[in-house]
Amino acid sequence: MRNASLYLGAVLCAITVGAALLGALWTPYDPLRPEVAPAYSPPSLLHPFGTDWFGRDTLSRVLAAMPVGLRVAAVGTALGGAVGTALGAASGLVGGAVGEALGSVINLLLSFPPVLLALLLVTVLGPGEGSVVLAIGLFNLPYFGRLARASFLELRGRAFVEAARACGAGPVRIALVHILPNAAGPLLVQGTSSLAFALLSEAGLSYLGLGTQPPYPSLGRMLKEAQQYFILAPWTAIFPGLALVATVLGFNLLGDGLGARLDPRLRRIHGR
Amino acid sequence: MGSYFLRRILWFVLTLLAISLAVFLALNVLPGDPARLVVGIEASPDLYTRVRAELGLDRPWPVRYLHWLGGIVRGDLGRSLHYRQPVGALLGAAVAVTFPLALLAFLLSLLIAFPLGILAARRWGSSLDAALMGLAQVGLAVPEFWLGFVLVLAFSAGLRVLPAGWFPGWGAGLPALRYLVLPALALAVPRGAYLARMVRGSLLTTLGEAYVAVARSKGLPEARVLLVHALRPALIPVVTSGGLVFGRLLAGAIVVENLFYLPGLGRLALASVLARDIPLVEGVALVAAGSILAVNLLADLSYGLLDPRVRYR
Repeated sequence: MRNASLYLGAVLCAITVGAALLGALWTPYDPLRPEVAPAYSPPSLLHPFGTDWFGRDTLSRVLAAMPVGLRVAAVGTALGGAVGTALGAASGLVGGAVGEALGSVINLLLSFPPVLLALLLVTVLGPGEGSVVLAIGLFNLPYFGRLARASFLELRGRAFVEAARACGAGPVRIALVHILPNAAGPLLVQGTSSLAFALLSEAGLSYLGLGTQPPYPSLGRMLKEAQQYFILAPWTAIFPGLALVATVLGFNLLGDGLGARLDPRLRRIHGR
Repeated sequence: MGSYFLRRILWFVLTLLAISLAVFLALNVLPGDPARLVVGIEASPDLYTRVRAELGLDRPWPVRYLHWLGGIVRGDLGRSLHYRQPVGALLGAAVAVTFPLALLAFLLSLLIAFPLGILAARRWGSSLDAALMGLAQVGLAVPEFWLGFVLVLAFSAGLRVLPAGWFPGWGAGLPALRYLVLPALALAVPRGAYLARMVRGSLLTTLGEAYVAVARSKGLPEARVLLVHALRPALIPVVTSGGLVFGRLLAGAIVVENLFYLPGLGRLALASVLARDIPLVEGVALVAAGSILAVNLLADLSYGLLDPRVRYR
């Protein structure tokens, strides 16, 4: 197997994202409706993941929670990725004191621990999806910013950029059309692993009660609720946990595999 | 060399100032009214006016910021609105729990990272390497609140070998340390997995260097080549990431501390946010960011010890 991570990651992502898409459109039962079956029914044909202490169908709740978590993580990561890349690119292209200053602002964000950043936003904006999306965006921003800055600093002096400038291309065109495609690989790899970490962060924040609010299901809060009744009904915890781990693992493996595929230096040093 | 240290320390102070300003502005200026945030919408006008005065909101924000900053320089971080105690004392008590927890978690994650990373790099491309790195991927994907819960079930409720769920305080002496073992382990697994991947990757790079080939051709034992010639320069990226990991641990493990009911910085952070205790939130944020910056500074200063080619300018 030449790149097992890439294939395994792609398969896991296809399954979990597929399940999330399905959950956004259809669930076997209403995920919010109590007593579709007796409380704490163990897994059965009608309820493959069992039911929770309200008698709600766990499979339906997992399916309904997956697109919410994925959406929050993806929008947050995309936001952080876009703003971080733009700031990093500007700082790399401009150079000089202004570029240095912009780079420092990016680094400043790294000295906030992710969950604390989210807590601060929740204090200011109140709990809920919007705060979590912003928090995920903010703590991912510096990673993209540093990557983009390094790439743009390296590429801006290259001959093909000089040639484009000589042809009269403006700075925005140079950044978007000439440099960005050459810097996109590492940014894409960062994006997949950022997404995986964002999924875990979203679950953690929901676990603390700061993310998606009840009664809407989220994997983090389902795990929190299931902990009290774990001995009685382990399935209420095992299945949401597996869904979360499979999604995170999928994106991490995909990022790893993409990284190995895109980094020619790594391949040259280590052969295969 | 001396001027490099001075510049870095000056930079540390400037960054901390910038962070204090950012936190202060976010909590005091951006949207809405902090006093309203503290008392809630239904509060009586009386209470509202009192809290407003207590927060000093009748003055413009630059004055309030400088006043706050002046207090910090004198060691006075203000009073918590919720606990009715000095913020400094609350932070001190929390750090007394979070610091040993962070240290223990960091040591455990190094104990995971180095053997795994070195072994995987040594047997690069083998099925052992694949198995170890697969294990690391799983370790990275498991949420720490879930891992912590499983550890409690296994070691505390099941085997009854380690206590969990509260903290007796340091008045109980060294045995109190036992209450930190399970939370530290829950924190150490994902961080150890992350650092193990780092150790392996960095070691694979240095193993391809000429000086490693020279060491081998001199006939040095493989263990010496691996652990001395290849590992030492390979530590630089590991120290950078390890510094970030340790700094963030010192800043307080919000999720795990809440899971285990440990009265550390993370619990204080959550409690202060839920109580909208602005002076306390500011204090927690400042200590958290300060710890991260300080550890990063130490990590930067250590590079010269690890790789003789590094020169400070």
